[in-house]
Amino acid sequence: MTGITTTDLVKRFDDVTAVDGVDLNVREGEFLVLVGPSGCGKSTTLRLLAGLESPTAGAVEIADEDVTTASPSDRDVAMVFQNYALYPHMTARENMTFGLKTATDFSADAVDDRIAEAAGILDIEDLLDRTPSALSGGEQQRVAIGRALVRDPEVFLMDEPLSNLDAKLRVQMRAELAELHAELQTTTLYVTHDQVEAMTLGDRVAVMYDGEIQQIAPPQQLYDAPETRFVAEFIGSPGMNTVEGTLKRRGDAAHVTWGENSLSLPSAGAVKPYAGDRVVLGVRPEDLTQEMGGPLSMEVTVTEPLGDSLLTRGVVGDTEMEVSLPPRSAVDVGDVLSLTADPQRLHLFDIETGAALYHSAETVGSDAAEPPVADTQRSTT
Amino acid sequence: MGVHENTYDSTVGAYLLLLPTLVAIVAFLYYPSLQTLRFSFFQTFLFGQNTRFVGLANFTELLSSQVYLTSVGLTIAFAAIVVVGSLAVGLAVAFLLYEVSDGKAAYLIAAIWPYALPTAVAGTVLLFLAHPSVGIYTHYMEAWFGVELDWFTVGWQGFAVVAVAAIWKQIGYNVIFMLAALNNVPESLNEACRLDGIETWRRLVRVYIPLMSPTLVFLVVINTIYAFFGSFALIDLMTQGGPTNATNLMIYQLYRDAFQFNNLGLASAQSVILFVLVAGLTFVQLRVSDRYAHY
Amino acid sequence: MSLDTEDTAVGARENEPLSVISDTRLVPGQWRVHLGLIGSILLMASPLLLAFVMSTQTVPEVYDITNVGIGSDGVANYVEVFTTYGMASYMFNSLVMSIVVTVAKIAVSLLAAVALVFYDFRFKNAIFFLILFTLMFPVPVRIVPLYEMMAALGWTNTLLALTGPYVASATAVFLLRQHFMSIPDSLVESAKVDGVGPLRFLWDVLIPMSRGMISGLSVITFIYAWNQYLWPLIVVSDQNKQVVQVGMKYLQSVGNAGQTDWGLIMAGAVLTLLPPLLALVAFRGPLLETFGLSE
Repeated sequence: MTGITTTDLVKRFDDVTAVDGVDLNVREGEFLVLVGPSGCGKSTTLRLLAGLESPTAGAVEIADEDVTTASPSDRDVAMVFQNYALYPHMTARENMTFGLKTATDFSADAVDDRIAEAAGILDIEDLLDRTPSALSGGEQQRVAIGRALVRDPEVFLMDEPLSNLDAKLRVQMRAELAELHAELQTTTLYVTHDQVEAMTLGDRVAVMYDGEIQQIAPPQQLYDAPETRFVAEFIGSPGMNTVEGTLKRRGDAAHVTWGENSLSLPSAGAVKPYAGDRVVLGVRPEDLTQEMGGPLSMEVTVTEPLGDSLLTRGVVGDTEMEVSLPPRSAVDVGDVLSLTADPQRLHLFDIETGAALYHSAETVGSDAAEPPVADTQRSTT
Repeated sequence: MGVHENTYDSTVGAYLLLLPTLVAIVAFLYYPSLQTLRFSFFQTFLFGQNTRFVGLANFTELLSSQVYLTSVGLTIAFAAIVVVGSLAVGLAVAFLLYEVSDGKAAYLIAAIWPYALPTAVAGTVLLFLAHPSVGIYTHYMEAWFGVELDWFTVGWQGFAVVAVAAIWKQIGYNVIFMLAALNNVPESLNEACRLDGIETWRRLVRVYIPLMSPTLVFLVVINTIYAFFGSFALIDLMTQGGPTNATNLMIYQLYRDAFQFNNLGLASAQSVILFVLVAGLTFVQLRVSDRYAHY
Repeated sequence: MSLDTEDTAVGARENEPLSVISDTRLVPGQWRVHLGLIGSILLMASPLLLAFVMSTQTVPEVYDITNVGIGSDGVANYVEVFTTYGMASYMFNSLVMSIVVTVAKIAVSLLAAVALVFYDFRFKNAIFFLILFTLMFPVPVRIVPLYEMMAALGWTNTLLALTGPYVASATAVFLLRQHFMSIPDSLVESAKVDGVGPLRFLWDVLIPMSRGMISGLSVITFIYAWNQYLWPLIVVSDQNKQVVQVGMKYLQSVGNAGQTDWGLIMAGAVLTLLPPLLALVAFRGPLLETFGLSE
């Protein structure tokens, strides 16, 4: 198989540990997105896979072969760079073929065929004899992808390939990339800081923070059952509200309170053990609704009409929260709203470690005693 | 994994690429420079056939020689005049080029061509045009201004003619760098000056020159080095150090001691003194620029 | 920027009321700028214009000082200086020396710059400093041992002696290094992923991407090498092997019956100036760009 496996990968630069024990497994034919804020180590991880950096510790396997110390050209990978890395003095065609003879063993005819094929797929047949300066950003990006395509590598590595495009083009290229992958089924590792890109493109998404992988899961699961507080806050736009509060149990019932506010949790028996009595409650803005006499009261500080919804920010207790209200809701700054939360969509995290303690959705219709899933694959079935 | 594994990280590869440069700088630059220092402690006899260690005797001889000390003084004066002259003329031309809006490209090439002027040509042409008996410049200086140019016998005149030749040759170089510096002045400052109605002269002195100061310091250093070393051809072709040693610059004295009198030890000591002087001046100029140049 | 201002200037001239506004940029009025430029350009060019005119004159015409008309010798002086007085061989020797120095210097510096930019190795900064520091050792600082070395190697009167000391260059390495550092890392990384080796990367990517810088450096080096005087004077004693700058010195003695044939010498001077001047004019674009100045 042509997947990628890393084992306990570590990369230190002087005092900084950029990658801290990453175990990653990209399956054959999978499109895996590595997402995280800038400086989280995602690009370094990609560069370790490409061989552009050598790891301080750990191992890299590509297609079942240990390539930890192999040079970049011996790894049978093709890379797409953020700034495209097109040679300014070569035409699109020359850019695509330069280095091809070294990297692969295609004959001249085969090269021509491959160029024609890639150009056809990417719709750049008419651009092949132009130099990069005569191409738009989107066209340059296609050529850069074409360069990777003609190499027919075991693995595509993509380093924020869309981030230099304008917003509209980015959305379009994103869809094309997804289509391309559906067609080619080449194992792909894709690095981005944009979680929307991650969610839309990835078969699975790996969220990275501070040199460590927080969670690897299919996009919906990442959204529904974040394993750490960081993932909860990072995924979704806006991210999940998190509130520090006190968990009080009464038999099987339990509720989290902070200030005057309190939310009750269904089947509190499912909460994993944790230290102390304070927890972090998580609830997404779209899972909060206005309700007369609801358990939460929010004083509105900002309203942002997004068109399809009215994003409203305010203070609940002494914590800032966001709530997604129906568009055209009559809400003004200074109003005090009564809110309630969807009881099926509540989450608890450990206040110290940030690890997920409880997802209320998983308690419904399943064994209440079972803790939230650790195996990322299972809950999707 | 091929042989070229991590080629770009290979120290051996890097040193192979550097090898030609390293061999050349060691063989032709560092080794002879150190040898100069060594030679300066030796005295040469019999037209260079024999040597004897004499310690600092060459230096004491030089520093107590009236001829040599005069040469040092002359060289410093010459450098000062050439630096000030070529910078002033260069600045005037560069500023005019910066200001002009039509025909800029044509003016530019017409103004910077002296960059290509060989020193030997500058010297030969001026030797003829300002020749005391057949020179057309000499003729009109006398006819129009009543100045009698007799620089083959009058020391200061010889000095002045050589200085003019040196300044002439340096203008092109200075204009190129000054114009580059002027072009880096943000257009918004220009516009601010226009709005405030600041007149040209004040704009040059108060805005452009301070903003150009890093380039100006660089040019002072380069022009100093040129005046010390580059004017050899002028002296050799125009005055041979005369009249009565009035243009006997250090570089020319060095050349005579080394290659006419074969006094290699003494000449090497002069090389060392030249090096120390130029390095010292460069250092001082860079230090001054650190403190006063507006970056 | 320059394009914009020129456009508005053109538009302004067609449009009377606007011209007043555009002229306020040039406080003394644009005609004064033109006058100043034409004046200073004439002043700088006049010696050469006169030299050119007199290069066509016969000896009696030259000695008729105020005669500034085209002489009756016409190109005869050029033909004579070229065929009889060795200018052909001087110029050929200079050409060979300059081309060899230019090609060798740039080739060697390109390799060094590749190592300094694209490799990681121990003592990288120390070596870069070692190369830069050679700026402190111009030829006069090491002239005696350098000459001794050439004599010992039996290189005097050879091309090796003329060119060897000029091969290593701090300036070329420095400028190429600066230029290479501006090339995005991803281009290098892309080449690494494709297994493109350093020399192929240099040849297929760096050199084509640095054409402007390389041609600029080539012109600078060519002019510099062509204009060398002191070192050839010392290391070449065989007149047939001599370069054209020193050839100017030999020409000075041309003439008969105590009358120097200045017309002939001026023809030699014009010929000597021609190659570097043509190089400057032809390659002014890349040359100015290398100095940080675009037309």
